[in-house]
Amino acid sequence: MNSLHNHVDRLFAGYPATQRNREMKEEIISNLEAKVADLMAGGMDYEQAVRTATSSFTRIDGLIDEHPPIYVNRYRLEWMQKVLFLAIILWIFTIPLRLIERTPLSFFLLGFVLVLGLLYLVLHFAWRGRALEVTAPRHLAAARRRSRIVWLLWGLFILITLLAITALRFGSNIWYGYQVKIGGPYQFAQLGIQYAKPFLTIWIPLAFQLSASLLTKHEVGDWEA
Amino acid sequence: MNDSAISRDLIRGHIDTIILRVLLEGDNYGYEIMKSISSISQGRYELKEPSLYTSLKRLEAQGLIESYWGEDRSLGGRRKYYHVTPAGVEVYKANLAAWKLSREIIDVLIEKQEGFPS
Repeated sequence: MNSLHNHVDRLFAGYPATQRNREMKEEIISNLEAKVADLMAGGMDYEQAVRTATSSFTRIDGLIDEHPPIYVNRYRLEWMQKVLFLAIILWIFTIPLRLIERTPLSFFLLGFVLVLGLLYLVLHFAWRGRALEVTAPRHLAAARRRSRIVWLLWGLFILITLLAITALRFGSNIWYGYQVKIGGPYQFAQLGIQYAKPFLTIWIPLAFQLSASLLTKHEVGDWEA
Repeated sequence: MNDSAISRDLIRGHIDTIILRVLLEGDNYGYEIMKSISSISQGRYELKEPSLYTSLKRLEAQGLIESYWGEDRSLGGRRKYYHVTPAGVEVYKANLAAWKLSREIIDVLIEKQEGFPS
């Protein structure tokens, strides 16, 4: 049944492997198998039967569900959990910054972690027993598009900030051809920190990407609903 | 050639009802539904796969049919069977009555009767 599977795989190429799509695929394959078996019982050989069975079925555009309902509370909680985890990691990274720089960055992040953690706990208990609540369907493709755009913007932001930092620090050196001097390990660390700080914002695109990928995970399957 | 295109369009508007009718004879899966439609129409109407799946999806979303996976693992793939719900039976009856009435009206409207001024 290999060429049949290949045909259906090609039909589904480019669509996300959500539970609904997987089930649709399984249903289509089993129906095509029945059709091929039927055509073969009528005297066709296997190759010809497969060709006949698949020839009338070359598109699935209208059949794919781009707006599946999801378990919204479970989805929100897991998303919050992941973002919280991300914030904790970033916060840990910024702790050594306090030794060198007098910035409140790490305190800001700590505050963010605490607020998010508290919110998570509150919602976790408030939604207890309502984990299986289903909401209005979400648009999967839109979420993925959003995540891609945010990554792109973030990439631009990083590029521009790095260029700006370089211009401010070394612009005159380059312009006048002076030698770049770094005073010592402390100054070197300071420079490193300056360059590293913009990367802390990576949690923003990551949060968007998580929200898109978790949508698929918390989709309501036909048999759970 | 044009004739068949017109009748296909006419039938397309009733695919949901036709599928309900086939399923009222017993639970069934996709390919058998297509086959039944072909044999009931004596081969004059073939339902295409995209229309079949679209219609089944719509009927299921409206709660007129429900689906379950069959146990027969004939050649590897599981078959998805469909079953008409009580709501589906009601809709089928209503659609049938509506069709009979429309057919009567369309008959008198379309076919030129003897003795009527044209």
